[in-house]
Amino acid sequence: MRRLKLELRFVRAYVGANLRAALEYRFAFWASVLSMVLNDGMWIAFWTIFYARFPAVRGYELRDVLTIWAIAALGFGLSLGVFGNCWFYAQIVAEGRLDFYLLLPRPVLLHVLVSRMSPSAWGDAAFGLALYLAVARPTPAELGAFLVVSLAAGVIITAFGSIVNALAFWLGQAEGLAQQLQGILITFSTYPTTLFTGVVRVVLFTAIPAGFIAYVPVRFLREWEPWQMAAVLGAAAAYALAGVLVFARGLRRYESATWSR
Amino acid sequence: MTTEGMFSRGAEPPLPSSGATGDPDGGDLRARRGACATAAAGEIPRPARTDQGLLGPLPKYWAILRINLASQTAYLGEMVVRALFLAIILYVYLQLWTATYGSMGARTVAGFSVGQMVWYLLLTEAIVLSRPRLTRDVDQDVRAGDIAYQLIRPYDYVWYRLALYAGERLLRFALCLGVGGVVALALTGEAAIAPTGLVVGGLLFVVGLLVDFLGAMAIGLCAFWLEETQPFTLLYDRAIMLLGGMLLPLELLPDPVERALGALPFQLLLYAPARAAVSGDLAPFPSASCGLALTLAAMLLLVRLIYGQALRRLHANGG
Repeated sequence: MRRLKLELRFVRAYVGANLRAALEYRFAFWASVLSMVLNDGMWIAFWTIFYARFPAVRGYELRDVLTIWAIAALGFGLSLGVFGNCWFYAQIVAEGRLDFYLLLPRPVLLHVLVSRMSPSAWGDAAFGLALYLAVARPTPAELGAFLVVSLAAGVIITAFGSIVNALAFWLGQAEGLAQQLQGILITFSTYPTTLFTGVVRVVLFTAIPAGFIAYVPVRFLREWEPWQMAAVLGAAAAYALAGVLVFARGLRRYESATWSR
Repeated sequence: MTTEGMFSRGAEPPLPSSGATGDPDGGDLRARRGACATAAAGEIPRPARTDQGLLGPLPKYWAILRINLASQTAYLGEMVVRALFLAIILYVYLQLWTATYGSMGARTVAGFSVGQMVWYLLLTEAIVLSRPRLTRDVDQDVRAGDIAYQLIRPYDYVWYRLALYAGERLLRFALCLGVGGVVALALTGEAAIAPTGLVVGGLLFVVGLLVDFLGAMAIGLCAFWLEETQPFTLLYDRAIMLLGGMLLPLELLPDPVERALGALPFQLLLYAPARAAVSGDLAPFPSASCGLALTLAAMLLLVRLIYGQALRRLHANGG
């Protein structure tokens, strides 16, 4: 428990430092946040226009799709706002720049992940929260449940990003592949999962865990079945564990490039 | 500001003794190395024109385009992987539109069948996905000071960038179209493309490419004034995607929105070429080509204005 508190303090300090560094360029920071809000707003405009013209798609109405977007936006926002490097560290591995982290007395993966923040991610997070408040007008309990599933979605996104970036330990240059896989996760996480059937549906609950971001959480917020919440939390724990194990396994293959600036 | 390159942005005018590239007129800086070497002491080297052939400067920019095209083939694997992402997007769109048409019990919506919708989305996505990250490169050139090295070479920086941009974009577009076309054909079982419309759409795409290049160039050059240009890049990209009709043909939008977007130039970059290619309807071509020509002229003027002003702000330290 003492160790956990220590690491949480470390993460908080790092996020604070990242935020202060980003705010040094105040205009750029707020412009990034605003542009991400507009980016998300573009998709909400698309879905609003879509549902004004067409009926419900395989049981998903506008409210459900907007809830998907709220969960995905808050999840991505928290993931890239706190653990921003989970989306980008393949290049660090490929260039042998992990040495910096290996020499310091902190868990390597945790340190790598928190050492970068994506300023625009806070735009995502703010948008997701505001969208849910506007769409659902939730009770405190509903808001609490929304925050829990969004947090779980954030853990899944972080773990998935970490796993695909860890491919660099085996493949060398894996940056492009990691970006593509992450793009696929985003794409499938922002459409109703009921659109997909067969093998694709299976993939969305295993290799590309979009179903645990877009499908199960939305069903839980609609139906309040305990197993749905358990499935989301279980998936988050399983992916987090897989992320740690894959990174640890990959780290054994790491060779320093004696990289220096 | 933490720019640490040898060249930094500043409000001071360029100094003749800096040994760098300032043109007191703020104009074109096509300086030739030979001209620099023979310049009298204290005299600012004048740009030497090297584009005296029948075709003017075209051959050298064509050579730059070809060289970049060839060098881009070194990253063909990465490009194919990018194009495969388009295949995933097309699959998602097909599922969405098949479900939508199915729930409506309709074969066509606003004149588009499911197949035409998928091919329309393939074309708009291919146009968007083939866009190189120009603003980032220009921003980097300005921030790191590399632009000063470019200016002493015997070409115009803007046209040099256009040649690089066109080489990269045409290759990417061809790959997206190839991979996406195979996937769309496999998914829909038809090539919902009209041959004459494809030619007209191709023409609109090429002029649209120039307009898009100039828009991105204008934003990238703003790095001379702004601490960060990426937020504006994101806004510009999203404007093209949302207002350009990437996700929905304009016919599917509510009437007031359709009219408003039809009056903006963004739809000329995506909707106009994609719709022409899919529907084969050539009626909108004259108005679309006029709109593109006007936008192109306005953007050219804007970029030249920004570029001229930007060069006045270039401050070179050392060499």
